[in-house]
Amino acid sequence: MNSKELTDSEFLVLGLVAEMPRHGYELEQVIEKREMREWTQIGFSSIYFVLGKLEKKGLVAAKQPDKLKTKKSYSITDLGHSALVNHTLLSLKSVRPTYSSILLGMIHWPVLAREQALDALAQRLASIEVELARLKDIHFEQQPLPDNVDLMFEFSLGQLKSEAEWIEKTLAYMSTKPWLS
Amino acid sequence: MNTEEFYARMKEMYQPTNKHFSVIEMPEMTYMAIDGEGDPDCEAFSHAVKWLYSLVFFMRPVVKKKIGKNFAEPPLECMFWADDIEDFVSGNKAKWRWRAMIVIIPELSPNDLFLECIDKTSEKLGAAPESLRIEQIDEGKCVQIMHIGEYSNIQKLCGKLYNEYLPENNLKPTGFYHEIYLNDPNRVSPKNRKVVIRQPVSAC
Repeated sequence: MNSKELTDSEFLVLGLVAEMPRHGYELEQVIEKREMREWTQIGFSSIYFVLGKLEKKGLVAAKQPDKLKTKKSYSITDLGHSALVNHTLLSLKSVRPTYSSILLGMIHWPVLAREQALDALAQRLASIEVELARLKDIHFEQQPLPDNVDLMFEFSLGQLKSEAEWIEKTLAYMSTKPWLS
Repeated sequence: MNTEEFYARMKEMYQPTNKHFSVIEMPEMTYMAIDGEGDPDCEAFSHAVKWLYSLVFFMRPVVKKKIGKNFAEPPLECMFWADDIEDFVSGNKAKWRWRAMIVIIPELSPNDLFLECIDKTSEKLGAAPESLRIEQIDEGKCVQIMHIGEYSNIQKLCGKLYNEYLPENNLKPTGFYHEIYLNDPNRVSPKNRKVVIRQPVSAC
């Protein structure tokens, strides 16, 4: 991979280091507290690994502690800052397809009995309702949030709501097609 | 003060210069407020702050709809005082009293909206703090300044205010010492944190 490219976890950690210098454990705490694993996949043990990769690319710099007992603190470099800006621009403007499991499920609908398929879709709808409630709870717990983060919740909630609407419509439509056995 | 006047004066009230102390004539403002005592670095204070932000969370959609794109997230404000001024001056925070508060615009916050938001918040956080209320505060003539940097340096600036600026200008403090936190310290580096320091004053 080109050293200028960033994985999702590198991008996330770089942004947190850009806010203020932080050490590894502190980063883990921030990710936990802000529940950032809601937005992207980042392993529990991989923070130091990610920091190591960012350091190797020259995007963050580790400050050796003055005292032996204090932890290494990471701060962003100029190179890191411009990488962060570029990657943020790229993320906002480019569309990256995500494949929902619903798509292949729909393709293979005919392998199921009608009632089986309808029931599975109804279960998906129930899961979405649970997910919506869970996300709303997180939205409340996380207050106060800056505008940009608050709007992310609006985005995710909106996507779930539109999927729920689609399932409701689809259930109603497919129920009226007895020949789709 | 109505919404229009509030927005027209917002910069003057919430963005004073950090170069020098300046004098401002504060209008009467409406706040949601919760009182408490003891070191603000305690559970009761964080709970009060969580309550205020939760109320704002439930009020926001209604308020946003009414004022549209001009809507600005109101910051957390806090007044501090002590029964014995010595405890205040010496920083004996265990003896301090505090009032955590968030400004609301009176005409946008009819009482039933406030009560409705209290109910919604209670569902999540339990019973409301006893002192939670809407309060009109008229600070009148104030001296204020923007502090930028680590919160621990605020005390030094206060020293300048009380020991130099006020006596030199024949002013004395008349109301509660007031801080307005413009950043979330969890997201903004210590060197960039902004706090408005405000002190109501009158002539000596």
